[in-house]
Amino acid sequence: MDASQRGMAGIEALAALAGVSFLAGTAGSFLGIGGGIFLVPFLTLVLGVPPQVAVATSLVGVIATSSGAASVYVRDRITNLRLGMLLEIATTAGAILGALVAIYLEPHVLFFLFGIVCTYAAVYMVRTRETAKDRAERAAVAPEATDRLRLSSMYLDPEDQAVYRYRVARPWAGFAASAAAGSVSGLLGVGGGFVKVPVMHVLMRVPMKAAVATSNFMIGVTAAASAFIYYSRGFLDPGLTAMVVLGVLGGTAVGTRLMLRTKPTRIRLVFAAFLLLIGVLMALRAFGVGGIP
Amino acid sequence: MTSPAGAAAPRGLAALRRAITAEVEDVNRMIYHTLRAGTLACAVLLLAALAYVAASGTAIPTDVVPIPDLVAALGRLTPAAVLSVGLLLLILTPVARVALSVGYFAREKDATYVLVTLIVLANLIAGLVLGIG
Repeated sequence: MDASQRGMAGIEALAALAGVSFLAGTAGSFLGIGGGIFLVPFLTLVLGVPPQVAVATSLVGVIATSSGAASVYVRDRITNLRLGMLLEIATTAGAILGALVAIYLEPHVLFFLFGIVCTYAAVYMVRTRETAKDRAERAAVAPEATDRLRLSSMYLDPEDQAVYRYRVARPWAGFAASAAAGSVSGLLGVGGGFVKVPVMHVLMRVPMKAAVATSNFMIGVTAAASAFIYYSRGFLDPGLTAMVVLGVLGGTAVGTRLMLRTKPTRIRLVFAAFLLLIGVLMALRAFGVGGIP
Repeated sequence: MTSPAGAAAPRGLAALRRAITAEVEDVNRMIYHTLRAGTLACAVLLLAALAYVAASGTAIPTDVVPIPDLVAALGRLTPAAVLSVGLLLLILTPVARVALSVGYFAREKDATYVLVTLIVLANLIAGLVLGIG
């Protein structure tokens, strides 16, 4: 591609892109999402980058968020590695299935359903309080599959310096929901972290911080396969992508520190607000409004 | 309270972390080093290429180097080749993490998670082969 296809890719545009990527990396590592939901609209709507180049660039940004944030969360043992690896089966298989069935589905119906699911999860997260009873329940009840797969884990929260031991509820329901999340993220062209966090937190009763860290751990794997294909097809613009990667990596250094120091209830509230925004955007898109992926 | 709580708390925290570290298996360490090395190597290559472009006043490359031409281009040390290698390293970091996890669980004789990580790896390869991911 020639330089004109980058849109207004002057030095100012590249600097703005690095700034937006920094924010995407911060928000992504704080919420357990890839940040593609911020990067793609900025690339297409503000910089005028062609959609496929924008998606390719954003996918590499998602990998940067995932690897940058996950390395910190894995080092600090917040990530539930076994849970992440188990659910990666579902999300990677779901992504393949989603791409295969995409042509048979009516996108408007899908966006509308997705909008409803996001809004429901947002409302649930705001209304349901994290109580001492919840934590006790987590420590007491574990399905047989959870024990067999050794999904239970614990972590040290640096914010209140407490050790949180938890068991994973409904492992198979979570597995099925992750497969659906993988297929839907393949269909909509997004990383799907905003589905994985509620699936783990709301459905599988994983504590918020562990859900965020584990989601960050997983999204890089799904994005890697797609990003490699985009690279092979020549859709990656190395200048743009380098700015995104460096901005995002800087952002994850800030976002992971913020996340570790923030109370889980605050993260839940920010996440719920973010979900509500996504839900509304998805519903709007179902009725043909807005150019957001 | 007159005791130096500020000084005592971090030591308590470190002790707690060590206690947890001892109980949670050390696949964490391997994965941390893999992800860290991948992102650091990528960042260094990208910064070096961009610094060279800025210093020499040449245009920022707009196309990645196709994988078959990569070795030759890297031999000439073109900015496009260095940027491409940096980005490829980043893209392959999560895949390397999955592949290394297979080896880790195999050494631990954890058959269940050897199978789990192998299926993830197979899905990734299937996605690549089908050209969809």
